[in-house]
Amino acid sequence: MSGPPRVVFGLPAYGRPDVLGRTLESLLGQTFTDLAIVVVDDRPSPEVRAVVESYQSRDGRLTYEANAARLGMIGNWRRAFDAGRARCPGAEFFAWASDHDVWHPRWAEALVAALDEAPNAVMAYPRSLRMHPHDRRRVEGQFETAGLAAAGRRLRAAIHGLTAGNAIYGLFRADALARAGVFRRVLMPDRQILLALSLLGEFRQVPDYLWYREVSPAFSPERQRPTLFAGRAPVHTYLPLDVQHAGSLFWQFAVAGRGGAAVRRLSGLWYTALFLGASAQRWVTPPPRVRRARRAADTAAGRA
Amino acid sequence: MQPEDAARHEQQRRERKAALVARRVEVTAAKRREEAERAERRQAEAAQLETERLAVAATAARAFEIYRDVRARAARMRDTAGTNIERSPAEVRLLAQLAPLWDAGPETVGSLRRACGPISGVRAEDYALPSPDLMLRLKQGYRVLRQQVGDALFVEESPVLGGFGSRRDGHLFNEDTLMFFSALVALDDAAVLPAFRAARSGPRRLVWESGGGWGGFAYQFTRVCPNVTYVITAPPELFLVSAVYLATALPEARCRFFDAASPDATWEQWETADFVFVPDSEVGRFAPPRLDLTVDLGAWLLMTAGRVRDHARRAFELGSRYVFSVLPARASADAVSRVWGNVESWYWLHPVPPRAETMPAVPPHGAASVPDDVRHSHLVAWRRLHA
Repeated sequence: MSGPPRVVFGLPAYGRPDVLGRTLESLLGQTFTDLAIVVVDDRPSPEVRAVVESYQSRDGRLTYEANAARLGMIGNWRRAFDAGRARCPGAEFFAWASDHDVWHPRWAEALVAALDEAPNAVMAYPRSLRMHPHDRRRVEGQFETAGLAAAGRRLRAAIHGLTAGNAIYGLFRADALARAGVFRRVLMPDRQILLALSLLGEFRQVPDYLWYREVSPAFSPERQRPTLFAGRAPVHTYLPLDVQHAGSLFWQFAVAGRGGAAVRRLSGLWYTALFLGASAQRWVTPPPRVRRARRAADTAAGRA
Repeated sequence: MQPEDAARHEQQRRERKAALVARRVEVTAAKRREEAERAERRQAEAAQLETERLAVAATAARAFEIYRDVRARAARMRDTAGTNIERSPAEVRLLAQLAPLWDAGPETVGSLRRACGPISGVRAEDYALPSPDLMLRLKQGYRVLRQQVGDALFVEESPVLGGFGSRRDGHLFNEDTLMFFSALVALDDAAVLPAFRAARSGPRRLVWESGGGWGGFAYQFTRVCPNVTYVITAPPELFLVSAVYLATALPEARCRFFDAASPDATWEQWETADFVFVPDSEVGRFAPPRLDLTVDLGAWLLMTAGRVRDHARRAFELGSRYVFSVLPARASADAVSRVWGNVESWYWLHPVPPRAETMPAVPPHGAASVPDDVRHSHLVAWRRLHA
């Protein structure tokens, strides 16, 4: 191998030394070996450091840095991206890794192949399994925008069909991710960045089950704010979610003009309007998956 | 009656009689034709049966030749193996049941599949007049898997050497066939099989199956993934079944047998071998040049905990990226711990979600319970970086 690795994983860690070793092994054990891993620790502890160092001493592809002060999840995810880019400026692909999920040994091999085959694609992700303590369950949902040439159609399809929690752990073209704005300071920033990214290119889904996701509690805005932000959450996070996301889209593409040739300033304005329209439609007639999630959130709120 | 009327009646009577005679002639001719056709069909069927009988006899004769060669090699393996293997009572029992195969005649070898009952528990006689419960289990298992994953991974029971089973959609299958089918599906779900199937034009892969049973899974796996060298380690007695079966069912297959006198020769140009048979006494020493997948289809369940550990450690030492292990769904916690618990020191354990989850909660046709005893638990374990 010569030159920078093709794939960089940014791993924003937050206090999971109990399972971090399993995650690191799954990343370092990839069949596709041309990669680097940057761990950015937002809750440094001797335990986490010890786990990382035990692998670092045997594998130079792994680096570790601890944040001096807590950045919050959004800040740490951004930091992981920036640190990964700084370490390997020429890397074509970037992926976020959690400190508790598991990556199948063929994950990078299959996703790099998928992106190599599709120059129009900006992100590829696999099907996934949910990891319960004693078993695994398939997540049956499928979504991709392959073959949708028009950016507006891809955006509309993503608004209605994308499950952000799975796709955000896909493999991204690093340049496209930077142009889409990485993580914005909004609630559900993973959904926001993916919707913005859908304007820049296709999403591909590899049909193999290559990502094993630890089961976590259902989404709730109240739980998200203190997790996402280090201090007080910005005032705009109390606006409706779609308004936050539309605002970010508007800022990134229509005002800052970072969409390049794919999304010019004027089209950025048009896509923001399209986004609001399609989101309103989704709110009125949500897909079954969203209805189920809302029911679960309501039930959880009722219990609380 | 007027004379004209009488003449007309007479005329009509004659015409009716003539028509009757003509019809009789036609019927007689048709009967003769049918008889001739029946006779032809009978002759063709008899010829077909004779051809099949000759083919079966030729296969049986070839199988017996293969058997004699395998027996000589297996006997050498047995004689050089010594008695240093600590076999569990279950293994000892199995080997005692297979002992008569050392002196098998052409008839036994010609219907070798019917002698496999002690190995997998699936008995040919159960399929002569299958019970409604067995038929239900087969039908349901087959339907669930075919509906969910399609045909690509289904390999039917070969009719050679007395292959048996139930026929559906033109395919012959039995409980073993379904167990192997579900194992292939589990390997596919665990994203392991695609790498082996995609390797048709790429580098050849090496698979090690511990035990190997009667050779049924090796047969199915290599049909689905042809660019594979398949190594089986087992007590030499088992090769009297698996090696004979595989060499007979796949006449083009290139088989090799481990020779303790020149162990390295086994792996020279290993890519040119389809099946390699190694006595399990050599597990601690055999050293294939690469290893991509280690398979256990229940053989480890029969072994002592120490031997399971030896096998898992050897798979790790040889660089096997994956271990695939199958246990009965109703295996006791102790059995699961003895087998999978011993793999965990070297591998990360990932149970594969079962495919039969769409089975109806309410048993159909008044069956006493959901027929889940054909189901198995599948584990795909990923190699740890450091033990």
